[in-house]
Amino acid sequence: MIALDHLTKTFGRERAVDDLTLTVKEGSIFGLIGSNGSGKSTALRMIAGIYAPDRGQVTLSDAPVFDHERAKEQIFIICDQPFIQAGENLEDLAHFYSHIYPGFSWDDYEELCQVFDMERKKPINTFSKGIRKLAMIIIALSCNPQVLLMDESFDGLDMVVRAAVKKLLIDRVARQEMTVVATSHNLYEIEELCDHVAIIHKGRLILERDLDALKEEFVRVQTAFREPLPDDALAGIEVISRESRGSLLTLIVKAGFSELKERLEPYGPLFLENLPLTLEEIFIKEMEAVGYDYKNITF
Amino acid sequence: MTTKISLSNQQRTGFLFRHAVKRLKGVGFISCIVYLAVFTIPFIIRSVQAQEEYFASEVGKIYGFTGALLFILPVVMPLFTGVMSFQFMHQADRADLYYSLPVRRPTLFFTHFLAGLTVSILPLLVIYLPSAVMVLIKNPFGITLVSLLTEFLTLCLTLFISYTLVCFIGVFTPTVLDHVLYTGGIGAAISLGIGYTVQALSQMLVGFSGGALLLRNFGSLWCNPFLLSYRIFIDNDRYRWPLLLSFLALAVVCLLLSVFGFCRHGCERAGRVGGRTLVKEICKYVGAYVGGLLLSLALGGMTDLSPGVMIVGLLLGSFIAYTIIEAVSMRSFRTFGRSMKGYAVTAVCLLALFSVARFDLMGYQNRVPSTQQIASVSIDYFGVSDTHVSHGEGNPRLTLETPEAIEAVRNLHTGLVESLVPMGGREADYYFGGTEIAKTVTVSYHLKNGLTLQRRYEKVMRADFPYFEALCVVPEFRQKTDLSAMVEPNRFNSFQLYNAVGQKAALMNLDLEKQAELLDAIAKDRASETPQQFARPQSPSLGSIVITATPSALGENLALLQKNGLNSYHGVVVIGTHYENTLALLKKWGFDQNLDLPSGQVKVAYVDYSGTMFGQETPLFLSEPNGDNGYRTSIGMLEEGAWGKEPSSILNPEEIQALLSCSYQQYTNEQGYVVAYVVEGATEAQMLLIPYEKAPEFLKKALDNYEVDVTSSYYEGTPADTVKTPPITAQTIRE
Repeated sequence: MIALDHLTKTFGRERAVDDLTLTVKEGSIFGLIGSNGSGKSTALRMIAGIYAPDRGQVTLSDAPVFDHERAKEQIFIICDQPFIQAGENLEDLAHFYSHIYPGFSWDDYEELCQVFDMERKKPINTFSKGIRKLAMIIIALSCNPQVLLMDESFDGLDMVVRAAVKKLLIDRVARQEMTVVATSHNLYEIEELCDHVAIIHKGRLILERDLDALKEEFVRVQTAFREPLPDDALAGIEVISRESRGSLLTLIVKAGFSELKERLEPYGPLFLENLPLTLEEIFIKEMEAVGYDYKNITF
Repeated sequence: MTTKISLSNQQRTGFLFRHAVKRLKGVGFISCIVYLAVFTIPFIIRSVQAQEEYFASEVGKIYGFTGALLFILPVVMPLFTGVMSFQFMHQADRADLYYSLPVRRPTLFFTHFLAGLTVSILPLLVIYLPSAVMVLIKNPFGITLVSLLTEFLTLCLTLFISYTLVCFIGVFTPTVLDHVLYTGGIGAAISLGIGYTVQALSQMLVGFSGGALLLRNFGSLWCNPFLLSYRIFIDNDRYRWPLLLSFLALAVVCLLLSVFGFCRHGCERAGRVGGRTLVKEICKYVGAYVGGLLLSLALGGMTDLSPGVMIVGLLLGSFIAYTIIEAVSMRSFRTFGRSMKGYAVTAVCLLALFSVARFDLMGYQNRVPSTQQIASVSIDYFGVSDTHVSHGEGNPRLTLETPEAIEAVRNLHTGLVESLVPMGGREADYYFGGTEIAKTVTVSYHLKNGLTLQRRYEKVMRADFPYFEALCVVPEFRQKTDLSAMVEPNRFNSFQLYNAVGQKAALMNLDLEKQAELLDAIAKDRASETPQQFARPQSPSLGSIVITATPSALGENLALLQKNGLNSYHGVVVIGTHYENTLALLKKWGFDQNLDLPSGQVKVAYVDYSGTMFGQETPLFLSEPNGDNGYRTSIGMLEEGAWGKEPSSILNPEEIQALLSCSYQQYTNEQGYVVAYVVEGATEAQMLLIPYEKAPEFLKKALDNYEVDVTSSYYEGTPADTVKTPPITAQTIRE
């Protein structure tokens, strides 16, 4: 279990992570999402022991991570822009990491290279961004870490490789109880991969939920009424979005479908349809709730 | 199936070290090749070819004839390896990689630190090892293996110091460019800061002795940890070990700070330009200090150290330097406004420091310790008569302990303060064409409370400043500086008698009894000699006795004699007319006739009017007549116009006789003409001095024609630049 306890990190006058506390269960795939500059990558680097927290600490199975080699042996981070020395090929990388990580397995390495049909002797810097990322994923999985931290790691991977990597990750989580913490701007990807998500904004935690539970907390309905719906009809329910187009009304509320249906029945809806809500929509609504300008978000 | 490997921490650390060395191997390899080609191979070739004596005299030191350039190695290599070793801290992606590794941060630091150090030392070893073998084979100096190892270790230490400082700067800078810029900046700032501080204090505080210690001995350029290796090549540099140890201590402190900085915030600033870092702040404030001093001194030099102008220069210079460093480090002027707070504090501190120095708020200039406070006093001055002076390069070696001697030094010091402080310490404009020559005097009091108070002055020697002579006749001073009083009779090698124009008149073969008798007579004459007689004999000297002693007989005093202007172990007793006991003894032994002036034998006298032909060595101070100290000159040089003008030869025997009758060997404070007398058959000419006031009429008349005021203000103590000294030739003199 990874525990972030009141983690704070400041760069100059800018507070990148502010009193962040959350827990990542062992064997889970945890998505860390947030707007640009929200502190996701900084948080990930603190989990990896790269940055020293100004306050608070990160623990892995109750052991502090920062500057503790035994804990760090269990963690591998694939950064957004992984550094690869000019002229280094995959074999060089494997050789380097095999001397650093005790969990490195040459068998796994061989297998992964075959699966992805990687060229091992060609300098990695001559590859595309996607292949460079894939090379690091191969190395990371060969190191067999207990915790894999992935910062925008699916960027540049084509759809087939992306699917294969996801499958591999899920397989590792299932087989070896590996924990994955991933950040991405692509929320569909996070939604597809993760079982837990946390949203952070300006370094602070906005929410942390099991993804299914999170989805159950929100409901989007499309309905229509003969008469306009009174303003107090939904009193006591947190309405996140309300859009009217003629008699057609679309609502996103932070409540269960049955509870909403119960509240609307007395007004005689012509129809009431439960529409699936995506993580992206939840994220956008949550961000709007904390005053984040929707137009600034990139996907 | 998964095959895992087992790794110990040692294995991992060892691998990381090898990996870091591998990254630097290119630099190491190229350096080895370059240094082998430049130093070692030429050294070996020359050594093999050279005869033993050639090897000893020309090849000299172990590094060979190009070895003096070797000091570049500990300057250049650390810069390359230090920058490359810690490059990973200056790029965010590299930093992510290395700091995420399961390695403790101190381990990560030291693997890179030691890798860089190893690669830096490797070329040194490549140069040193073959050269050392060659030296041991030929071994003309009896060099031992231990001494070679000590020297190698010393060089390694200098390299370690500069490398550590480069790494320290690297840890606290965000980019490679900043690393290089700050390293260069700090390296330059150390030398410039020390140099300009010493210069400023020397100009503003009369008697400031730091100049002697730092500028003359350390040399501000070389008083720099990055250039420390240069000092290793300076023979007899007694400051190199204190410097080495001081900088070693500094390097250790920097190393500890580097480890702390690396472990705590090592990678957070990677690639982030604009943050505040320890090194940047140091650079900014030191830069402001150096910039302020530089402009302040430049403007002050043009306005006779006007405080107002110097303050303007100080503020303007510091502002320019501060702003430039801020802009360069931030890569913009966007923090200009915010940084002004820091500048305001800097300006206030600089003004406070300036005020303390310029207006002597600490009472530095007038401080003369009381007799009760003084345990002993050391003195160093250059150029007084026939006394052996202790030229200890700013660190006086002649120590006096008797109350009489201490009081004489205090009187001298008080006299210096009273005469120099009111005029800002610059008595004569001797740098720009003046003819007055200032002598350097360093006084060092060893106080009873264990402290030392040292002052250094430059004083033009004049008859109205009798304190030097008063000190010279103090018994303890004589005892410790006069060779004739230092050594037992049986330790002297020879006694030679010279006449007034430096012709060797006789070799006095004296048995021990006679030696003792002669030394006793000299001692009696000297004991009764007054300061006035010592300084300004009423008549020309009659001749001199040159005595030589074996170096082993001189013991501790050898250092005094070696370091004096004579550069020999000779002692000279100038026989004035008041040396009655000595003269009586010479007469008794029949040597008195040897002192007769050989008027008929002198063919020609060359006259130099300027009194500056030996630079700071005129007016003449006495050394032994057959010495090589520049007061004899070859006749060939005289005939070729070596004095820098048309030959001023005087051939008329009557005129020569007139000149001889007023020429002196022994002078302390006199200014006058330098005359070289060429004796029949001699290859060298003896040079004597004719005081202006005693010059023959024909000389004075000639000078009158050229509007030279020989009555001179030299004796009144006014600045020398009032005296005009147009060219004069022998022809014009005769006319």
